[in-house]
Amino acid sequence: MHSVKRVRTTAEAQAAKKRKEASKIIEYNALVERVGGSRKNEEYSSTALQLTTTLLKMNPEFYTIWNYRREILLHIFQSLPPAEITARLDSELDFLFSRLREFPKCYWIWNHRRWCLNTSPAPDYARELKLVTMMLERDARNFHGWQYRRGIVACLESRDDEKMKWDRSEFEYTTAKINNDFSNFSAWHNRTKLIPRLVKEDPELDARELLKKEIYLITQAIYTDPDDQSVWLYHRWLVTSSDIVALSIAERTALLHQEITSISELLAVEPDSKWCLHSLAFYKNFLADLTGQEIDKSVGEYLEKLETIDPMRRKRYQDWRARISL
Amino acid sequence: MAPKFVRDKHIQYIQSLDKKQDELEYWLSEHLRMNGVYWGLTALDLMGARDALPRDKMIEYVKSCQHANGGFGANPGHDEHILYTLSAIQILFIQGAMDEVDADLVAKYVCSLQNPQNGAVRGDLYADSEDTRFVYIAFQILALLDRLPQFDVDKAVEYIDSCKNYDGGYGMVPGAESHAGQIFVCVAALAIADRLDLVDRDLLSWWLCERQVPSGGLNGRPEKLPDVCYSWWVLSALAVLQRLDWIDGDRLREFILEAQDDELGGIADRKGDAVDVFHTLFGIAGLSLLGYEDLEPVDPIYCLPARVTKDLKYRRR
Ligand SMILES: [Zn+2]
Repeated sequence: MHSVKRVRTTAEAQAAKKRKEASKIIEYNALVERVGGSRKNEEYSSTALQLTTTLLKMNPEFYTIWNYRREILLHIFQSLPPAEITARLDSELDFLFSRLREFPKCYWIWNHRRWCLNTSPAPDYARELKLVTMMLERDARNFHGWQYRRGIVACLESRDDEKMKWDRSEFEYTTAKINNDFSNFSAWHNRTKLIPRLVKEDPELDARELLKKEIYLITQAIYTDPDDQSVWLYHRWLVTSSDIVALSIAERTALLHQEITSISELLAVEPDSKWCLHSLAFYKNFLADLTGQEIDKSVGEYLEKLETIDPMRRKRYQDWRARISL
Repeated sequence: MAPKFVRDKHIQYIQSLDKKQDELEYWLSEHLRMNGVYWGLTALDLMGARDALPRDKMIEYVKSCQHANGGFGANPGHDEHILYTLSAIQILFIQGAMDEVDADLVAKYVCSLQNPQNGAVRGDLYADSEDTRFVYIAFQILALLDRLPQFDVDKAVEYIDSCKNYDGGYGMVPGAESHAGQIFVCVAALAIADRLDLVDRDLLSWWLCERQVPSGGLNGRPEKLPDVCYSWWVLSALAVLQRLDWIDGDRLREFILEAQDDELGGIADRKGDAVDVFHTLFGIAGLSLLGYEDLEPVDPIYCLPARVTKDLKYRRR
């Protein structure tokens, strides 16, 4: 159980609650028994389907009942033309949407939803994309939602004649999410998956120019909230990895110098910023490894200061200092 | 000052769980029953009270949940799934009752869930639901059954590696965002396969130790609330990576102890919330890993008492 407040009630209140629940328990268990019996008798009728609807409304976590529901549907589909199967699955998706509104993190509902889409002769991916956009509007970090979304986009992309159309629009979507809230870790994450694909598939795209634009965007994010780890992780990815473009050593060195200068300016304004100190230590260390030159003495000072302002992770800074012997 | 660890109350709380048939929640949570028995038994074992639940009855119960194909369900009448098969095997392993099941049959069931093309593992035969969690679970079941060579470990390792992200973490499937729970299963699976060389150790350990927030608790992703269960997911991964001291153990201990119900026993996700057996185990396992409260040592790879895993072949660090 997550985020359920602990409440202490009197013995009388507890007894009253139990009396109230007693009839519900009888009703629930009778239904469970009925559905179980119906499955044992291999009943695959609309009545059986209706019974699972009632039970799953009471308990969406009952995965066995979702399994039975799929068996019933597949059985019914045997005698239906494709158009009607699609229609039945569309109404199944409506039912699931009402369940997801109430239980947005229930694994088994998402699981069943994916099955519907995989089973449908003519799945409406565009509708699914709209729906999941709505879900992410309500909770921008629901990772079931993001995962479902990536699946839908992949399906749309593979079915479209216009190459990269959907990945490109997905890139725009993460831009909108980020402009809304810079600390959306899920959106930054998605960009690290989308950009390398866009660069690889679109020969028109200027990867160096894109990298420049990304650094501009992340710098804005950093200046807005320098205390947020996710923006610094993304920054690190841009500055150190070759996933977007394989920079030459000279280009990489220039980029590192440019970013070190920019972060130093921020540090001058925010002298106790943990992430500024951390990033300066990291990039100066990285630069020394890259060029084979000696590590700048300031790295030791940054790490020493980090030990004081971030004592929970003191041992990490000590290990780091020991490694570079500063 | 940190509150006291209320060992006896936790033991009583776990013993009381099977006596709540007059609560609707008891019936609505039947789909977690097998996991619940594993969580309760392991917590008891770490507190040195394995016998607080009746052994023979427990073994009979586990066996009553097995299906003809070898897999186990959450409760009698519930379908088999790899999640419950793991809990069932873990319970039998702790109880030293592995001769009660046909190891080859269970291993065959687990192997049938692997996708030979990409190495991924699905949760059951009813739906197509690949997830890095299930790769770890398959590895652990087969390691406990001493049947790991029957599985395509290399292909499964390749799949885990394809779920690695720019932050050093791992997601549920290729492309998915890093999440502490998913990182635990991937790191532990790579440890069982002896392939920790694939982990970007410093980058990932950094991400993990940044999960500790000012309250002392750990969260599962950046900018999320701290939660006792993450003290296990994050901590065990750090332990496997040998960076346990990169977080502040004293502060975490305090956070876990504050989440206890010091009247009725049990541990919640955080202070002031309702307790459950899931958070009770992961709170206790976290305290054990940190070496507090005189608990039995826990194995960070298997989440089992270290006493029972010490002779396993597959337990590289
Ligand atoms: Zn939790």
